[in-house]
Amino acid sequence: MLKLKLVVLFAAFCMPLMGQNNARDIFEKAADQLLTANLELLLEIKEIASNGKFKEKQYNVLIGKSEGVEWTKTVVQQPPKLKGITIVITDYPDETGLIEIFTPANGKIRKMKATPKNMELVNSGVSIANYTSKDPSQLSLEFKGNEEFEGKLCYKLEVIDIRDLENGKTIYLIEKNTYRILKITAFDKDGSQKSITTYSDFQAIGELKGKTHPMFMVNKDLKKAKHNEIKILKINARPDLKEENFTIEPVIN
Amino acid sequence: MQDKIIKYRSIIVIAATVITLLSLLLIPRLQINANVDDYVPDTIKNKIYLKELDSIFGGSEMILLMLNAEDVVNATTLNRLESLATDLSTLEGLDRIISPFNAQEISIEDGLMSMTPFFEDIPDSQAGFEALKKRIASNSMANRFFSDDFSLVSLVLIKNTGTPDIIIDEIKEVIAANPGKEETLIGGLPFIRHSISGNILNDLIVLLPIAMFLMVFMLYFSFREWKGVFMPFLIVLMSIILSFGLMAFFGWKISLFSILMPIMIIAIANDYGIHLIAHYQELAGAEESLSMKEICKQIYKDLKKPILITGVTTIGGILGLLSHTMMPAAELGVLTAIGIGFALLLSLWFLPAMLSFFKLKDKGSAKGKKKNSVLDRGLVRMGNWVTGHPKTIIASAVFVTIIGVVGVFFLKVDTNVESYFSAKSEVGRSTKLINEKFGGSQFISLLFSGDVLTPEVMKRMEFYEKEIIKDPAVGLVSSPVSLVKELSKGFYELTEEGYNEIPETSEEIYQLIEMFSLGGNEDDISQFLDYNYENARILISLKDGSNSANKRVLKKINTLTKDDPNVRYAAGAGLTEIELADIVVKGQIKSLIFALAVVFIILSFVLRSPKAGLLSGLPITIAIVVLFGLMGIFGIALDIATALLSSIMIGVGVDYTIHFLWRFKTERSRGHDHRKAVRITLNTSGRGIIINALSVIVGFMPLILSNFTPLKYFGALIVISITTCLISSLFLVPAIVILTRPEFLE
Repeated sequence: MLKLKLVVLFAAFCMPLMGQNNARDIFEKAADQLLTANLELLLEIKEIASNGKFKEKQYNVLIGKSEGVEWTKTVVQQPPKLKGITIVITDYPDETGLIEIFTPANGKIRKMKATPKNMELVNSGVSIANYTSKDPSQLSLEFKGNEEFEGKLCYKLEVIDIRDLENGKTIYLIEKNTYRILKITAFDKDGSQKSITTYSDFQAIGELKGKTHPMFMVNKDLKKAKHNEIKILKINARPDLKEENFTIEPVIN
Repeated sequence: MQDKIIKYRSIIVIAATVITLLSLLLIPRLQINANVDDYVPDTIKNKIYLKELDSIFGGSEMILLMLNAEDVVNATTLNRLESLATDLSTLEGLDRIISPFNAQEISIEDGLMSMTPFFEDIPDSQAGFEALKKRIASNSMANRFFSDDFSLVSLVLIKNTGTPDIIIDEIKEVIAANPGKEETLIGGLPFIRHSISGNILNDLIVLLPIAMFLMVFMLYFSFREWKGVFMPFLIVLMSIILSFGLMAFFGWKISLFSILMPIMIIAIANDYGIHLIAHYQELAGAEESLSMKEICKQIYKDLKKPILITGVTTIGGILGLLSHTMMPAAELGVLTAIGIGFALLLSLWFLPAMLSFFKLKDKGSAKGKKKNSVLDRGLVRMGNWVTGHPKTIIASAVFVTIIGVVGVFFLKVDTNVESYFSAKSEVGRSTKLINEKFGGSQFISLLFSGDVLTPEVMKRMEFYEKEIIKDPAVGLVSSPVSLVKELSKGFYELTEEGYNEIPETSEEIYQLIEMFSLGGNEDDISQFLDYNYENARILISLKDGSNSANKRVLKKINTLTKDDPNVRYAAGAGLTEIELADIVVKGQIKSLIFALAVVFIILSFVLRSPKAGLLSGLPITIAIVVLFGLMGIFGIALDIATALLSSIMIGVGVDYTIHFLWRFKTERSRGHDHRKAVRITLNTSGRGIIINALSVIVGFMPLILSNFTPLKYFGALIVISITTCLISSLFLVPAIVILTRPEFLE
């Protein structure tokens, strides 16, 4: 779930990346490789607490976009007691989006406004709305030199949403040869590190030429001293996705 | 031997100096351990349970930071609290900060579920604050941070047991960086421990010089000669250095008990030197023809036996602490015994050796002491009265002992660390506020394992909560039940069945909690549920942390849950104190028996009669009964410090009886009848015994100034104990001797 937001984050950054300088060019090339909309993912997340205990969950995620409206539908597959929990986030270009939560155990569907704070509550983190609707000129991209990461030479970029300074800056390490994003470090507004996410096992998405996706990600939450390992078990382009694919079909367990 | 002491005096002085200097070099290695839990053996059940709870639920040590004002629901105070929460969250030693700003308000409005941070908007008008108070009062996630009268608001800081308590200093720095009009108070066991640690140092820094000063004053007052001050003072100082050096050498840490060690050495170890100096002055004044070297040989020859016997019995009595289950008490016994043993050796060898380097003092000043006749006149009168009323004395002793025995039945044991501090101290105040307004700072966890998120288990938890809260000692009871019921408000309408209720299925409970967890609220959940929801706990806070309250609540919990297959155990810091109390009582009984046995064996051997051993032990036994009786009558609890009294009393108090019997036997051998022998003994040895007792009382008196209530009581009680021993030795023993005429004294 948490990693979904990073996939989304890529998508959000793709839009405003028409290179006006080196940093924008680099960022554009990196984001351009990623499939960020109209896709289906099967994720396996291992949430590891600071004491070493862990939970394993599996999610099916649909991400769609049509006429400026974006949808994300997440359905919990595992563990059995949580199976069927569904969260649908709809984001409109000109109005506040909607979060719908379905809990199959009581058959209830609850709706919430997709305010940034509510988005945090459902752990979508950096929301779709924040980034897809962003004016490209509101992103500050700065080239910060080169840095080696796991033996690979990378471009180091500082990315700041100048309209949302509360979230602080992020530092991207993008591999020079392949323009793959290998690491994102997020900072809070005070400049201390919030999280580090690394990406690996890039695989081409079969039916879409030139598109690749990291199949393994590790996100370290530095504040809570826990980390998540996310494996993408399956990724498919879904150009057929429509609005009706993002409705909740209540099925009581 | 006395010739060898003078012959090898330089070697003796150098050897003693080298030993002291080597010990001094080890002292910087010393560390303080203020954690009372560490005083308890690792094998006790509650300690094992607490460790397991820590591993299941993560850091479970709570520090409460409180802002106190007439009314804390205002923008300034709440903004300051938020700023404190933000800054404190940057401290690496804290696992998490639980604040009112984490609280969520879950509701359904216009068909949309609203799950908003409780303090999303802080109002700016009085009417807004009044409305906010009403919202706070009705939200179980927010109201636990506020006192009912809104005079206090708190942050709960969670630390792991592995994080050192020094984190309190960092918290204080954060508070200093966020100033405000509200009073800030810190509470919780880590703060109490940190305060104990700081106060141990303060006590050592303050009490030790005071005890030293009183000792110098006593010595100068008694001898009016700087040699008489310097020699016993040096011996005490060297003994203290050796004991602390050995503490570092053995890798033992300074504990609450350790404060007693230097005080005990000061109080006890100067006695031997006092007797030798007094005798030196007597000889220097009376025998004009003796040189300093000859006087030094003579004082050793005359006093080595009684000093050795009193020293050995004192060491034996103090070694009674070895039988104590609490390691620091046993360590105190070993180190004090070694210190006193070293003082004994120094008094017998080093003092004459050192003294022989000095020149003889003027005769006039040596005789000056003789002018003091008030004590002498009092002793003569006392001797006459004692020999005239032996039966009255024994009857009075029996009466006092009976009262003491009755009082013993009222004696309570209390090892609650909260009672270490006076109500006026910072710790005392914050503890009182926490107990009164936040339901207490001591927690008992009732652990459930297995399939804990089933409606059946939840309903049982709810039943236990309702029953446990009825106990007057219980402040708050919280569990996953209140969390789940609060979460249900977000899914059910107010009028709908299921609102503020435990869900009907296990799946629904799981899903409500998981949804809450996804929202980043793991901290609220992890207090009650482990990561995989295999263990849950009910947290019970106690506003009365006394042992009796803990015992009562534990009994109630055990009765309620005895047939519950999911309940594993109840554990909490307060319950360690119950086990600690048992250890204190058992340790007290064991060390008492050990010390009495040691005294009995030594004196039976020295005076060649078991009756002598019994007679010598009688004054101490009566003193102990009277002491514990008075404690029972006046409601002074037996705690980890006062529990050490009896062993120390035996070690110190038996000296008076020995001095009395020793001199009485000598007088009988000179042909005096029993009554006359008693009178002479009281007139001669009685003087030394009284000065000896006074020096002990003066030595322990600084403890009354201690920062710790148990040590204050200890200081006061030791004065009562020694006085009782003194009265028994000077009244009861002579009365028994007159009436029973024991053969071993013939």
